[in-house]
Amino acid sequence: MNKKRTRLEVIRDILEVIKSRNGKIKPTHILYKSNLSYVMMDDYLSELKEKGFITEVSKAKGKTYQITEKGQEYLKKYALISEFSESFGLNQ
Amino acid sequence: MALQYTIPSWLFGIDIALELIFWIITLAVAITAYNVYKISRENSMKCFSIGFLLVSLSYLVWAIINIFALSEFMEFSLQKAFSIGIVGIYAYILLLSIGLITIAYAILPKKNSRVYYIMLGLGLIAIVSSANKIITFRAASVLLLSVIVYHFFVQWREHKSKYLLYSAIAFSLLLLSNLEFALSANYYTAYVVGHFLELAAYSIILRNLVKIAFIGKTSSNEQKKNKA
Repeated sequence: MNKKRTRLEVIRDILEVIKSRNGKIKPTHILYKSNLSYVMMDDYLSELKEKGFITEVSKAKGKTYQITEKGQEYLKKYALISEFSESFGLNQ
Repeated sequence: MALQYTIPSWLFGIDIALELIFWIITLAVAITAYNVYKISRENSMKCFSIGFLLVSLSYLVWAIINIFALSEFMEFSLQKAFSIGIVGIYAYILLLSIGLITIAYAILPKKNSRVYYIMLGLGLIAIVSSANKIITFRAASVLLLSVIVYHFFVQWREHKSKYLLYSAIAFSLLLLSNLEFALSANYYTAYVVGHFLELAAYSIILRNLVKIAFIGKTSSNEQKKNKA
């Protein structure tokens, strides 16, 4: 059985899913790839928008999400974030 | 209010050097936590950074008090040393109390600013309104450190990370050092032991920091290689 993901891991997984689709992805694709419930995914997407890691683009066909520079930076420096939070017990 | 502790003469100067070392290490933790916050935008990192910054400032203030006390003592002006010390002691108590409360808040799973202000208010009111502020301050520090140590051991049991265990041990040593300082008014050995327990604790924390910095540097070098 897989260990439960921490918040930081979930954020990383969502950002990687968005990045893997050349930076543009629909919510349903994020839902399938990130292995989250709709409510949780919505909460995380709101949080990521607030933090400036992703932007939402609304079109007639629906909305898509794009990763920002800050989001890319998060992925690049994820090892550092993860080690620090793990070492000091902040990865809840 | 006065703070007194008995110190063996050979420790004069060494305690100041140790406090300056602790200042630098806690400042390094605060800066690293802030850098991680800038990337992750996690509130727990921000609180952790602020908490350690305040703890760092408390060590600086304590070192400055001791430098003044030592210089005035050498000139045989104990009264002047005490009056400078009183302002410094209040600053030290305030900074360390708020720092520990902030660190304890940072490790809570659910963040709520009201909870933080309640913790801060209760802690400071208890200390300020107490007849013996030093004892109340030490008791509050021991309580806060106990909460932090418990958190680390629970996290270690869940995640089985050796670096979490190191942090748990480091904060346990800080807890013991606070207990020693509470006894230091009457026993000079407690003052000595307290300082060396802190030195052991911060050496472990420094070790964790160096590892984190190394991993941060390694991952950014790997990114540069992949780009090339």
